Amino acid sequence: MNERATPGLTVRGSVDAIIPPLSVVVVLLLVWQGAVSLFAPSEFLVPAPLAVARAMWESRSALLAAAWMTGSSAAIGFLLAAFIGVTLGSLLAASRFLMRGLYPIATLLQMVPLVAIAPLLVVWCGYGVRTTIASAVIVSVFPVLAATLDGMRSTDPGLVELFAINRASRVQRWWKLELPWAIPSIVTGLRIAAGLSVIGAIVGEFVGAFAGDQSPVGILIVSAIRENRTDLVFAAVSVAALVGFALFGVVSLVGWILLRRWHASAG
Amino acid sequence: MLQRIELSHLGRVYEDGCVALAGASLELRAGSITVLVGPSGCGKTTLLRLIGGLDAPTSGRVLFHGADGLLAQPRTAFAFQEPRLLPWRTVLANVALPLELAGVPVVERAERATAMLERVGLVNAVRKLPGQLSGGMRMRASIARALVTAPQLLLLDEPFGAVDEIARHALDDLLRSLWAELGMTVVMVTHSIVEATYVGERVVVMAPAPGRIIAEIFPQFTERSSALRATAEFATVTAGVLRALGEAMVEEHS
Repeated sequence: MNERATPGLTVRGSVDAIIPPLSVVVVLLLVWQGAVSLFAPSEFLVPAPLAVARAMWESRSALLAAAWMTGSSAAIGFLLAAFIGVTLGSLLAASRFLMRGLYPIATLLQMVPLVAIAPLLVVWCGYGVRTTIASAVIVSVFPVLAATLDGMRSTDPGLVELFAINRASRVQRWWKLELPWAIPSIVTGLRIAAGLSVIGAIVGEFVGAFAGDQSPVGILIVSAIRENRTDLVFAAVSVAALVGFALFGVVSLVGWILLRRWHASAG
Repeated sequence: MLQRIELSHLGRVYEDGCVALAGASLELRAGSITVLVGPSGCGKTTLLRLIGGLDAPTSGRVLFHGADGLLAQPRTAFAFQEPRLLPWRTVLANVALPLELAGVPVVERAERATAMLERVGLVNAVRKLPGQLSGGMRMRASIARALVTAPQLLLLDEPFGAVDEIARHALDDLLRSLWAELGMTVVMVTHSIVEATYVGERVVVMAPAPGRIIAEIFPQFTERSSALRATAEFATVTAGVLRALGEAMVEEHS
């Protein structure tokens, strides 16, 4: 019998997965620190990793608040993009007319640079979190839509025929066949969207967020640049990357839970 | 109540002009087991799909006769060479799928699917996923799913073509016993002459270019068991099917 073991998270497996990238990061930081010590550029141009770490520690409460604000905007934007992307992708997969009509337009729209339309979002949504969320949605919706559409369109024709033979309704076919079939593809789209949503949120913050007692990452970066605090810029960028990585990690974990028992991509 | 299926001058010409089937006529008694055998391109699968209503003939008709006249397409189930199981569903949920799609209540469909899995020898695998099963076990699950709706007509398109010879013999025995027990009309397509001779009450030999029926053989054995395949009596009938097939190929080449 062809028994396939269910893949699991083992300590050994986790260590094997973490050590290579961690080693690369440590080496890069050492090279960076060494180069800064050797060439001694102005701290305004390139701060040393230790200076960035110091700025992180000193501004920890501001950075944590910024991470929370940007992270929540990105997460809300991501969830909205996931919902809109899967819904639109499903509709486009269901109708050849809609796909031919809307998909080229959606492709064209995602080519428009977000930075160029971000000021318009302020006009439409006003200053504040709505612009930030809208920006996150706009930049992350297309990968989910495209992944959903591709996943559903690649449904095994044999299984589609099986559902037709059993006189399944269109909704039954979508819910019980096409959607689960597309999950591996959707998870890939969501992973891409997770990182993009943080970028979108920060671009939205650049143009549409307030600087108050607590500022999001985008505002923190703009303020730090005005104050010539390049070390704080690097610290804020690192925090933004960590927020994106956390969101990516959550999506990957959910994908792994959904797929671990039946799909090779979760092996 | 279905009494017989009449295939009247069935033809199927595809859009590209390819004649998949040319004027096939056949009468199938309800409750019979018929096997279609022949080389690739002889229209076996086309004929099966026409009987099952998955495709429409370009000429001729498929008629379902009851005691009081013509009937609509009877409850029909299919099994294909690939088991077509949903990889994310357990074996039980896969077998229960047709009932689920038909709106059968959850408890009833679990009972019926479990009973069918017991019948095909998979009761210990109900919670497993298809990826955890052997090829033969997947085919058993596929047959169980086809039979869970108690079909009047079971159509099988090379169902055991992808499993090894020993598993195939066991599956042929299982099919015969399910047929004897449940009494549905069975039409099966196969490439295997041994399988056709062993399973069929009637073996319909088909030839290609254009696809057509060229011979019918009615294997009659006192008892069908594994030992039968090694007997001279079985070899004689198999040779008859082989001869008919050989003539089909000679005709095609000439």
